[in-house]
Amino acid sequence: MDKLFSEEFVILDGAMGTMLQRAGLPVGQLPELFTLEHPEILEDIHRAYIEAGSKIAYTNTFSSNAHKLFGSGHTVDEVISASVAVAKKATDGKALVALDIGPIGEMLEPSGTLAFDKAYDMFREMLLAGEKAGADLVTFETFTDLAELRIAVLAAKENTLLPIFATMSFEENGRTFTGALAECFAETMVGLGVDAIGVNCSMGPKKLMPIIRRIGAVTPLPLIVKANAGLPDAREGHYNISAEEFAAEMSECAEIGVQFIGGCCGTDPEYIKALSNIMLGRKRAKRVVLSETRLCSMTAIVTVNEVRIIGERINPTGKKRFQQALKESDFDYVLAQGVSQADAGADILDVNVGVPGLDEASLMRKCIMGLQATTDMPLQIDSNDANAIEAGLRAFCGKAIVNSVNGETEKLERILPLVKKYGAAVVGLTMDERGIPETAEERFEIAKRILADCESYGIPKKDVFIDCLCLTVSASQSSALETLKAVRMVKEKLGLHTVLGISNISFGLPNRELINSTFLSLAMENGLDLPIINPNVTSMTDTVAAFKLLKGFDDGCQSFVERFAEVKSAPSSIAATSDIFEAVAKGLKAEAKSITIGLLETKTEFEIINEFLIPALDAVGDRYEKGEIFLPQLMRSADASCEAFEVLKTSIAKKGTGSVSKGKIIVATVKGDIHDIGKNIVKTILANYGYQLIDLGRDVSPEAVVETAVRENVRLVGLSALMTTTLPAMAETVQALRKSGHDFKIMVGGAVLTAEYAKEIGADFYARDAKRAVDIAKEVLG
Amino acid sequence: MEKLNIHVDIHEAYRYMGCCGALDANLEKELQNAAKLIENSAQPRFIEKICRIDRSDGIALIGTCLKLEGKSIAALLHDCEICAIFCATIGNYVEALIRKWQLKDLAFTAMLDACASSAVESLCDNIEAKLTEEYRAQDLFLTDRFSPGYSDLPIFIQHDFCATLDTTRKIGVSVTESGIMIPRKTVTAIIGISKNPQKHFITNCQDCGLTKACTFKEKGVTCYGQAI
Repeated sequence: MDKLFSEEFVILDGAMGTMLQRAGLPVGQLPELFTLEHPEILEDIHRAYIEAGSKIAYTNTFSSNAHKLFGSGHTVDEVISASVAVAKKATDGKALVALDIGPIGEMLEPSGTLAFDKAYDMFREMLLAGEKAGADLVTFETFTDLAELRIAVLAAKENTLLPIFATMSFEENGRTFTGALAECFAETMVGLGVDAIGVNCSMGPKKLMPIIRRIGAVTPLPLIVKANAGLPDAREGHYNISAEEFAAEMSECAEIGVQFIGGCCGTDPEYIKALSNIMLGRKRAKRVVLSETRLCSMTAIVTVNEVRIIGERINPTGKKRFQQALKESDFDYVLAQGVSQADAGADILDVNVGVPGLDEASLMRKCIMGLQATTDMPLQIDSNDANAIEAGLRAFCGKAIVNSVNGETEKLERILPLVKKYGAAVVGLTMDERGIPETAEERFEIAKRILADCESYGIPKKDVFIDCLCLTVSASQSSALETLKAVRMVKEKLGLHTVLGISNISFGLPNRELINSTFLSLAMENGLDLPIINPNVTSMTDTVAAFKLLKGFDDGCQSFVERFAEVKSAPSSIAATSDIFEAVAKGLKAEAKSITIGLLETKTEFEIINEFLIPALDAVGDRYEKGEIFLPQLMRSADASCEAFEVLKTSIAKKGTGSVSKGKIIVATVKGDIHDIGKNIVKTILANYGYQLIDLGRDVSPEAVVETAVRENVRLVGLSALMTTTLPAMAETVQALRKSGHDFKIMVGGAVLTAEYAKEIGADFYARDAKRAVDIAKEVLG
Repeated sequence: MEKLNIHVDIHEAYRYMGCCGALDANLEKELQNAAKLIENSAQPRFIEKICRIDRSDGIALIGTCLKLEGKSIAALLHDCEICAIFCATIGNYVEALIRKWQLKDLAFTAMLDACASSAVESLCDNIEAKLTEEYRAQDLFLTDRFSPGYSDLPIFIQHDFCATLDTTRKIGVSVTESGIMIPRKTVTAIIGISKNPQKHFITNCQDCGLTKACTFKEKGVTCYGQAI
């Protein structure tokens, strides 16, 4: 294996599926099952590729996972052992055998219904079988979901010693079908420590070259290209270039510095032979890799080559409303904070979900899963709890920042191995067992120690960020200057990127915004790269924009000009009103909010709900029922009422006098179904009537519904299903709820449901729309 | 791979949201915005295959593992020796867009979802138009478009259908355990190709499985916008 990495070029094999179809494999049948019956055909194919010059044979195990083999009568172990054995026999020591693993064939959550752990188990099963059967390495190929590939790599790292090759399929724009960006793929795989990465399938060599160049520019890892024989036609999937054209196009790999080269769909031993011939005697160019600090999600990369904003708002510290949302598992509230910070210009999101008494690791995992489904940004996992940090790192697909370690040895020893394992960057706070040193020099010494420790764990210097800590200036006047001095020392003498939470500086002072933005300017001038701020405070993001312009990071002042050319608020075409009924009826959010704030001066929260909001919504609901208005108008009114409710919830949370809840209702889209817009509409409307909604999301198992219903002592459960294929899961959930013996009412709804079916499966109510769901809730809960 | 355009019909989207009657100006503006967002983030892709039909045991497509069960598909293809099968999608970005808007504005999300449905329909219309043109030149005629889940053609053939077209690799479409295609805004369909002109399949409410709970019907219209 090691010898291969020192070769100039390593020729891989060509297509397997194409060859098997030529040998009689019917379209749509699993190739693995075909070769179980015809091992001699498989052996001949391997042999032909080796004769053509291939040094690594990919086993015919691409789809040998438990999902694809389900119902075939064959086990994963059986299929993989047989395929590896045939490959070993054919190679006869002349080539290595790579265990070939493709995607499971089902989409992961949240797009699909495949859970992380289930995918992990399926990959592990294949990997263990492959290693046992004697494969020399594993190659993951044709992946389009980076999250799935990452799970596969983790399974390989944690269960086998096999070297890992990983390739994905990209479209011309450098993204996979699911949107994963080539650079994000590279950064994520480097972090996990794979042995070689590259591209396969999707297009011919010519169109893959720009993509492998992009990948090569951001990673020093050996590169792989396994291209199709040109582009397929949409009808029959025939490919359009000859073996000679293929080889000629592939020869560009030499200039790019690609080491492992072969063919994918449409190629055969002729193509591999032509490729072997053309590469003979050629030299592989030396690659130039950009050594910048990059963070990424699946879909976006953030290079820390100028000031980048870390949004601080996902943090319950000192925020009663946020704490309440976490306690009630109201993740929409948390995720909405992420989306609004993204819209306001954050580059990275800090995620802190530590609330005493709650399971932080579980909350962290859920928040990270939700955030990466709804925003594009890299995340900063912010916790004191190593378990929560690991849960976050495991769930996040991309390159995250861990916030934080400090000079305490125990902390460094616990956290740094996690940072290394998951390939994250890390923030080191300049404090230790003795607290925060007063002087810049002492903080600098701690930073030096943190850097040395990080490097000893193999974390590259570019991924170590230092937070010199910002103290309250009203408590100690010189502290601001010490912090600034420390930032400059760390930046200039250690060459590290720096992080700083800004808003602490102004605690206890009037006009905090002014102090914050001024201190931010000073800090950036002293070398701060990653300010942690509230991006929804315009003066802060404006300051960053002005700084970038003045420091020459804004070409032609374009971003700055665009920023201030935007019309911040479009004038409303509808006249404002002071009547809450009218505000709700017309869906005027801002008015609903300000009127409610006014009403709070004379009314209690409950009075406002019962005397104003509910009657206002009832009036809208009646018009909806009569067909005078439709869903969009109903939802607009609900949105306006929602703004009013938010005012009331915040007010109650501040007083700490409980909640506005008139009773708990569970809503869930049943197992196997992923359609949730209808369920979410019902949820929003019900929440506007003062009920506390426990939203279990979509694809929810009957067990999870029962468990939550019993634990939370819920009296009304709403189930939704949109597909005829998922109605049985709804029936199953109703049965499971009945079997639990707990006393609750069940309402069901969804496009394919009828009142008869609802009755047939034993539900108490059929909620044909959101209005009906409200009537049911009133009947059950009052 | 050949590219086909998509177009969102906001009046169609309006109907998909269960609305009928005139579209007011505010809503029209919002729907136009939603349509624009969908058109910009859609990545229309399709894959098709022309298959010969084997009738020795029900309807099977020669050279594939696909069997088409049910009386209605047999009726549709009764006069055809070959048929086209295709899978069309507007891609994953639309899904991400809809997920994001769910957190910001649910009413607008419902509009986006409806516009996305209209967009994938328009892609199917374009594929069908292209096939019609191609086969008219050979004096052949197309039947209506028919999808798994219509009438008695089981939706569970989605797995085999997508495997036959190799949709995961070619256009990024996979099928969940419960038969839902991902991305959600994806359509699979069959169109018969015949030597004789084909009559339209009459689509009336009686054949529809949802007729008992249809809110359109209560309002005196069909789901495709015609008065009953």
